[in-house]
Amino acid sequence: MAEQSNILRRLWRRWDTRLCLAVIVAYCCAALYGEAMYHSARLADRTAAYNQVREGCRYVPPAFARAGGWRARPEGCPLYLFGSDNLGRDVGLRLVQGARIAFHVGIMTSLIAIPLGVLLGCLGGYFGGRTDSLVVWLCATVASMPGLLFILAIAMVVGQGLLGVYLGIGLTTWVGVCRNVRAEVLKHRGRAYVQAARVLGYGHGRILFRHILPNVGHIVLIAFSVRFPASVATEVFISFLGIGVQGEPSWGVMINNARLRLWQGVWWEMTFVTAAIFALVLAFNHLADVLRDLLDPALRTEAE
Amino acid sequence: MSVSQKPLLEIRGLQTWYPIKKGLLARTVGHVRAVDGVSLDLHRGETLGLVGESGCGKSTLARTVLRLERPRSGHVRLNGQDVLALRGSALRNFRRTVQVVFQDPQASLNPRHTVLEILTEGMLVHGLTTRERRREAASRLLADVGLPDDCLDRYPHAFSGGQRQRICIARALSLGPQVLICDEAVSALDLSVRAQVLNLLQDLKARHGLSYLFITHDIGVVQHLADRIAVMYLGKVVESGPAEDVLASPAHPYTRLLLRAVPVIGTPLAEEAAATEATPEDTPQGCPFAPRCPLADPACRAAAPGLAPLPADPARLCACFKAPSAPSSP
Repeated sequence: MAEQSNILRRLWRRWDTRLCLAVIVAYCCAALYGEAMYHSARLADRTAAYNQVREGCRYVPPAFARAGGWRARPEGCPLYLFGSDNLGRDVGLRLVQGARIAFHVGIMTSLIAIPLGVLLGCLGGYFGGRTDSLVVWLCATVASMPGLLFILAIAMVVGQGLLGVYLGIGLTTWVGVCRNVRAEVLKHRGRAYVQAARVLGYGHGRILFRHILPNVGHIVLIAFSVRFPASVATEVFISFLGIGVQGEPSWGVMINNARLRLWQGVWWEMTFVTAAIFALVLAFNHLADVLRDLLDPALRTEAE
Repeated sequence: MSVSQKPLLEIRGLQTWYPIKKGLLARTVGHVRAVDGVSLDLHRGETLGLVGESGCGKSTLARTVLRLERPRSGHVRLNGQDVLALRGSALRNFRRTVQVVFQDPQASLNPRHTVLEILTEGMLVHGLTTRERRREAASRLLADVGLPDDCLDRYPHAFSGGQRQRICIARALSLGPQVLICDEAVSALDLSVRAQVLNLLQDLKARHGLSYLFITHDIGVVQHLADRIAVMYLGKVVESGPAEDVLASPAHPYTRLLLRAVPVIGTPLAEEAAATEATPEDTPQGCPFAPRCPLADPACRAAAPGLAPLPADPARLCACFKAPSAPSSP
């Protein structure tokens, strides 16, 4: 149906969701730029700009907040629009790199969690009986473990780095997706159109994936828009604890770094990182909220 | 209709019970006896009206015959073949032979498929048409149910209730069935549309040589359509026989109650015999209808009457100790 483009149009009509979309697109651009920066540095086999250490340029405040105006900076130092950190690295460039890592984590964990949750939810909701009991048991078991502990365990097994983060977050967060999808499939299984499909002799796969799944697609979309910012926030937390990314400026690594000199008045790194996280998570969460209102038939009013 | 002819669809002693589970371990503490030992015959070219109030098990019976529910015991035979044991290609053949039209046409159609997809998916699955020729096949089906050709690329929400039900009927006909089960097929439609759809069903029956199992709570609908009537109460058939005879001189007090409940303009509504409605969960000793029956006496509460031919007319069956030996008027 033309519903997908219709949803986009309706999101664009509201100023708040338009702002959210704009913020997300801006972050996407930053992430892509970061990706280009990362790979060009690797190909040229030189230190990337965001990792450039300058001994003489430590703790330079951001350009717009310097006592002597934006020109006032130590000899031989770049502009530092967002200031520099304890090794003289550019906070602005590192923020962009952080966006790259945040998108990696958000997308990769969604790619693990959502297919897993959708598949298990579909199977449990459609077939019922023992299959359903198994799915419900799996959900309950995973949900009963403290999430962070599970993530730490997986990260320990896989080793430090992004792969552990992907797997750790992905394998713990499918439960919510699975429960939502299962409940929705269960609802649709009893509908007359599914009964009619069974009487017409369609196979289970055809009924499940051609008839039911398109009707629960909105759950998947909502799940993605909720999962993405949650994963970003979790990654920040894990990296802050020192389990996640090494050698690259993820937002969590930056916060961990910034906290050391915060009490000496080096406020900018902490402020900008938290603001960056705040804006992205807020934009996604608000979009998810509106999407749910638009897409969830249970909340949809009859007046449409 | 000759009775000696072998029935097309034969239902024998069918029981479908649902377990009632209670407690932490979901122990089965009892059963809802939705269908409790029903035997029915549907002959070729016949319309069998199955009547009863909501909750009496009519729809469960249909769902069991369609293999959407597993029965506890009993047999269903189609052309002498055991339906409940079918697998694989034999089951696919059965699907082609028996089709259904449900009550709610809105819920029966997948909102995300076009009419073309809805009508031809079954034919494609069963290899009755090809992708290239499916448009023709679909427009033939639409013409059959009296809808114009330009509906093919529209979605179900673009149609009215009556039109949607026509689409459902066309879909059911797409596989060329012999038996069409109409489960309250016209109950959700308003009166003028209902008459149109009933006429359409009559038409299609003659044109395609169909047999109908017509399930409804409204005995008025059956009057126009049915050759034979079976009346169900709490999972059991309490009366069956040729439609005219049953309607003219109902033998079971429940049938009389149903007939009195049909509203007639200009006459006051009949009072319900007794307010207590039994549910299929509690199975009283004796006749299930006894708590509501005006004729009940201690004998009725002590033992349940079986379905037996009326002395006056052996073609009619009735499960009542008080069944009149001579035909009476309602």
